[in-house]
Order: sequence, then C-alpha cells, then structure tokens
Amino acid sequence: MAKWGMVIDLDRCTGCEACVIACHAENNLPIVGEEESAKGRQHNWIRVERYWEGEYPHIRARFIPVLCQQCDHAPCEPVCPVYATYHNPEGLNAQVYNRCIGTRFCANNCPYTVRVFNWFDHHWEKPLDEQLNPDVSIRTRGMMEKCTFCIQRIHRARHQAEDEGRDIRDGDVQPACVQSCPTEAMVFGDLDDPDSRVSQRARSRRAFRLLEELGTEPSVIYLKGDEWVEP
Amino acid sequence: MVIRKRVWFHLAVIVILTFLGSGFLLWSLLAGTPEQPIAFSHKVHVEKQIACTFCHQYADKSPQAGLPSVQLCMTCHQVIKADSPEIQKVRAYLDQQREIPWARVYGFPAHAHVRFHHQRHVAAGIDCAKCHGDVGQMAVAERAIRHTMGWCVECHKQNRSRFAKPRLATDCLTCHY
Repeated sequence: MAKWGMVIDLDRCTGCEACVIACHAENNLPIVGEEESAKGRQHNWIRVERYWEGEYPHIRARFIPVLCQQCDHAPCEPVCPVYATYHNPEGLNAQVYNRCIGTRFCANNCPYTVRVFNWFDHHWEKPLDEQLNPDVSIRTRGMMEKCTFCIQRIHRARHQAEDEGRDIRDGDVQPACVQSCPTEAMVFGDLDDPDSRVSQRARSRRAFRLLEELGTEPSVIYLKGDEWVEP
Repeated sequence: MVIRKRVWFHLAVIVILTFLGSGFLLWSLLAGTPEQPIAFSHKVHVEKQIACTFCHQYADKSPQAGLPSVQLCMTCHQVIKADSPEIQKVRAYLDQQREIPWARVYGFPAHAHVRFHHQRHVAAGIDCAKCHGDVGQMAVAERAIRHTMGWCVECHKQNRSRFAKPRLATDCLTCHY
C-alpha cells in the first residue's frame, strides 16, 4: 500500500502560481472574485504565500506553496460530526462530499487553513463549462472541500498499471500542481518506497515540515537551504 | 368519545400513508422506464447477435459507455428496414444533422458525487447484465436494477480479493471524489 506524499523545494520555487492555476483547471475550482476573496472566501486548494527576507536594499521574496498537508494525525478528522473526512488506507485525508453537512468544524481546526467552504453554488458561463473536468465532482453550496492530491490521477495511474499487469511505478502519478511546476520544485510519490524520488528528497538535510511542533505528521515535506547569500 | 376520535385519526394517518407509499412505488416504477423518442428495441438487436459494445462503443475504453451516433444507426439501417416509420424518424434526425435525444435510463445524479468507470468493470470481466439486467429481453429499455450504494458495495465486498489493493475495495475515495 502506497503512502502518498509530496516534497516541495522552496529554494526552487519562484512563486509563479502555475500550480494554483493548474489546480483550478484540474479540479473544477470556481473563480469567486475579488469581493468574496476580501471576505476571506478565497477558493484555492493550493495557495502561494509570500514572505520578505532581509532589509531594503538587501531584500528577497520567499515563497511557500501551501496545500492540504494530508496529515497522518489530521486535526480536521476527529472534529467532523458526520465522518465526512477520514483517513484512507493510502494516507490521504479524504473528504466525502455527500456526507458533509457544512458545519465547517474541520476548516476551523485546520492549522494550515487549507480547507475551502462552498458558500454558494458555482456556475460556469458558456463556453467555460466545456472545460470542466469530467473526472471530478462539481461541489455545491454548503460543502467543504480540499486538496485530494488529484485522486482522479492516482486512480488513472493505477488503472493503467492494472491493465498492464504491474504495480504503480515511481513517477506514474503527477498531481496537476506537480506537473505544471516549471522549476520542478514539487515531487510527488510513495513515501513508503525508500527508492522513490520523493523519499530520496525527503531525506535531505534541508527537509522540514510546516508547523511540525503541532504533531500533525504532515505528508508534505518542504526543503529550504541555509540563509541566502547575495550573489 | 375521545378514544374513538383518536382511532379515527390513526386510521386516517394510515390511509394517507398507504396512498403516499403506493404512489411512490408507482412513480419509481414508471421513472425506471422513460419514454424514448424512437421505439428502439434492445431485444431485436441483441437477438441479431450484435454485441453491446458495437453501439455502446466506449464501455470497454472509458468511464462512459456512450450512445451510438445517428450515423452509426444509419450505417446498418441504410438498407435494413429502411422503409419502417421508426427508421424514417432516425433518418430525419440524420438529415437535420441532429443526434437522437435519448432519455437516460441509468446514471447517477450530480449530488451523488459518484465517478463510475465502465472500462474498469468491463476489464474486470463483469457482465453488462450484472448491473443492467437482461437488456436482451427488453423491448423498451427499463431500469431493472436500482443502483443504490448498498448494492454497489455488496459486490465490491464479495470481489474484494480481485482488487489490486483489496483494502481500497470499499474505500470511499474509490468512487466518491
């Protein structure tokens, strides 16, 4: 059984937000607009946070793409009164849309604030509805949603592997964000396989995890080097 | 007197519920046999030994089974029974360059958030009739089997060992995402 995980190399991230766009296109995410975003109702499964390092003129922007960390000890899971969010055998923090009744307890208990609530039904004007991904549900009002590590792509890779009578190979599954990253800062794969690219990178001495001290055991591992030296 | 009133009240409730219940049953039966624009008979075609995938071309290739295009119908019916009034209707659709507006018999509503995959089930060697009933005997396509979640899960449980990852046979994320 695979244990899906991701490594994001912050020294490579340029903050271009291609991952955000790719995620929107792949997972049928709506564009909620400026007004709703100002109310804190942004609709992203992945966001890029920006931090300034140093003092002017010796200043540098640093970026952190933040998506669901697929925690092994996920704080969102035990607070759901209807078991709409649970841990699947492959280490994914799952969200079952049908079960969700929209209490938003999970989002409030998430230290990474990566869960998104559907405040409205969303509509895609013609011909934009033609680009909706048929492999992904369209969520409706009153439902919580979140990054799935592109579960539809995991399924597709597994189906292909099954048809070819083999196991999933390293690199078969690429979530939309990973695929779109121009600097290849993101790597996805099986953390249980010690030879996978993601495992190799996770052993780096630059590795750390977001808010590790909370004990959430995230499956997303970040890499960040020593202090930046101006060239 | 008070007791008698209560009895009448209970009786009235029972009668109303019976009416509602039988109405629902009738409705669910009728809803399973939608009216079609063409009097197409699966029975006739299956008796001619035409495979399901001859018309439902994507059942063994993609998540959706697909409906035949009006061109595919007319490939055969250019010659076969070309004079029949029903085939004339099909020809009219072809002449107008429109697809036949078939009514759906099966399918999950959007709020079910189910991603059903035909190809996976065909690849696993599941017979079409397992989920669609004996369509070869139907003059008008009807919903012979109600695709409830319990019904799906029952089969997934029985075939657990045939899944590449048996623990995922009944995982929510296998179908709902």
